[in-house]
Amino acid sequence: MRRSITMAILVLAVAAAFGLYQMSNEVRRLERELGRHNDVLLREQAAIQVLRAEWAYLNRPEVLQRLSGKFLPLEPLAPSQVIASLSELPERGLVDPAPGMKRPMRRPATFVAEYRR
Amino acid sequence: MNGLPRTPNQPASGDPYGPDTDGAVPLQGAAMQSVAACRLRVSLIALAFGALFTVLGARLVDVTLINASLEPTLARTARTSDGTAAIGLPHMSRASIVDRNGALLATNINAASLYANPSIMPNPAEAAEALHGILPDIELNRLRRKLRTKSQFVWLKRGLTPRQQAAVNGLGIPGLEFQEEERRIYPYGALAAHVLGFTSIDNNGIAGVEKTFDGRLSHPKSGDDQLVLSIDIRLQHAVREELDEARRTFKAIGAAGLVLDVANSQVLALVSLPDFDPNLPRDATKEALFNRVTLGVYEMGSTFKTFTTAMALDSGAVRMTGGYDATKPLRAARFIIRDYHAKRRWLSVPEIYMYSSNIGAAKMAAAVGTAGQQEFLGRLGLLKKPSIELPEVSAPILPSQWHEIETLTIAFGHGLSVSILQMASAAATVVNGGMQVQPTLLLDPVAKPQRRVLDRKTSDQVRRLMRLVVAQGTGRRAAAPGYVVGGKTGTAEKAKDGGYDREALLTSFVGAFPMTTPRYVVVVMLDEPRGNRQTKGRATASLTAAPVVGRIVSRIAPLLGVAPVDEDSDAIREKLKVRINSRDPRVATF
Repeated sequence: MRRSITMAILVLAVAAAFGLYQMSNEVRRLERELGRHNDVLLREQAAIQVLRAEWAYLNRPEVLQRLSGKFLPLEPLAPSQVIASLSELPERGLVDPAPGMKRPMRRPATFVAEYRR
Repeated sequence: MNGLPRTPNQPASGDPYGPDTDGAVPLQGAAMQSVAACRLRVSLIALAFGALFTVLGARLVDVTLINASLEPTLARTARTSDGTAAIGLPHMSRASIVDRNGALLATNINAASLYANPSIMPNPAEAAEALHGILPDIELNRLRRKLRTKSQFVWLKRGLTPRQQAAVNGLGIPGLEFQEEERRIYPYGALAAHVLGFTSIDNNGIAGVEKTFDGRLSHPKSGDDQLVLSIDIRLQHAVREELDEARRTFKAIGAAGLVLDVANSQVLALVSLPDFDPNLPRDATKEALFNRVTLGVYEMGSTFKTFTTAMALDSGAVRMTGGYDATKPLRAARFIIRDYHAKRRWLSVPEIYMYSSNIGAAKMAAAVGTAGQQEFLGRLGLLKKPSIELPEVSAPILPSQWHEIETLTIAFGHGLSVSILQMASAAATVVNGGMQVQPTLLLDPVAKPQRRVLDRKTSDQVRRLMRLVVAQGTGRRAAAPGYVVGGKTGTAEKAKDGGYDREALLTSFVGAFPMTTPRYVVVVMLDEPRGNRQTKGRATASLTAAPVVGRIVSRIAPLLGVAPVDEDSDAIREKLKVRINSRDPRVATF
């Protein structure tokens, strides 16, 4: 009886030691993995920071202005191009269409051109 | 029980340690001694185990609670609005500075710094030459001298670019090492140099807001912690470009510009030319480091008549329909006050302002008196050091004595030197309905109570006068169609060697828009502009400073969301109408 209890305790002790060893091994492995992930994260964060600065540098107004002048047919906004309120909209000159009919839509671009003229 | 020593004269089942349990033979002699020895051993073993468990317990506390730093370095994560973790910005040793729209004006990035260990370098002379090829800004001789020493550590260059680092690595010379360091960078370069200031090589703020907020910036709460300025980088660019253009056209030695929101006192653009690149502050000249908006104080000339007129109207010394005789130059003490555009007749208040009459302005100030003038200019904040979040701020230079003659000259802007910042704040107060303006560079400043310093009616009258100057006076070139600009020109001769230099001018324009309900004040100053062929050799403010304001307003008003209006519509004309009340029949009501 006493012998069997001793054996049982011994087996349990060995099992516990093995379990603990496995567990600590696993923890160490996971910690190494976490460390690697954290290293990657820190590198990425530093890269984001550099890219943010780079983004600001490439978006300097003088650069955008130069590029816009080179590639876009845009000019500074003239006061005549701005329609600040609904009451400033020019008359459409169109009769109300019959009920159920779709209203013809005008593109804003034509609008501006007409207003400027 | 097996392991315990047993005395031979005792029964195996008996308990040697509990003599009272069976009330049997009391122990004596050798038996008692061996029992005592047993007790001693047992307690020793218990003590040893106890000590071991204490050590284990202490180690457990040490590992789990105290010594948490044994864990690997953690990347900082931030929580997004939906509660998930996101990769935040790295925790830098100095917080970033952004403009009102979040454009990154100043930030820290990791940069490698290069140092050498010359004692293990096989061929220092060769290494110096190879390094000079990659880092041409360090002189070859200096590199040679540094690498020839027998020391184990010399700094070669701090803050390398990633490309330079790769190139140095590519050399493969033993004894060249890198140290990761944080470096302050300003992506927009010189664009907001005088606002931002700069930092020393050790990242301590030593100028501009970098210095003012050094404590706050150097202790960021998290990677996302940043200082938000009221500056708008787009406006800053527009103002800087137009000023630079004017500075080159008129060969001025300097220029300054300021855009101020009259409602909340926020500075939207602050430009002083020449300027410098805060990334390389050591290359900057003293002239370029000088902030002409806040540190320079100048006798502003005729723009000051805006305040003189406001003063005369506010104190009730004269009404809008009243006026003064400007037929003859005004003699006071040993001075003679003359008009630049002399009309030689009686001038009404609107005419005095529109034609910029020195005689009229001086008479207005005389009617208010010296004490009244001091009190009024003090109310506008023109007599004490202005408050703004910059270390480079000057107090105005007051006349050493302030009697009647000083009162007369200060009326048209001579004898009292103030900064562009003060001019803009005072003008903002005059046009915003009379509320005090305390300029700030922060988007969310500590709320200061607004104080009324000027009658609303006076403000309304001066607005009309300022519009009159742009509509048909000296400020016509400041007009920006659709945005109802108003303002006043000022051409002052600079004081030199005890007198005034006719050639060295300081031209300025103090403007506001839209004059129906002014929202922004724009002040422009050119230092010593020279006339050119286009201006027929003249360099007055109406030809040099006023057009700059017109162009600036045309560019920034759409960005600010100011709705353009038809300036010739009846509603606008009625709102800004002035009865000029001239005695010259040719001048009609505006």
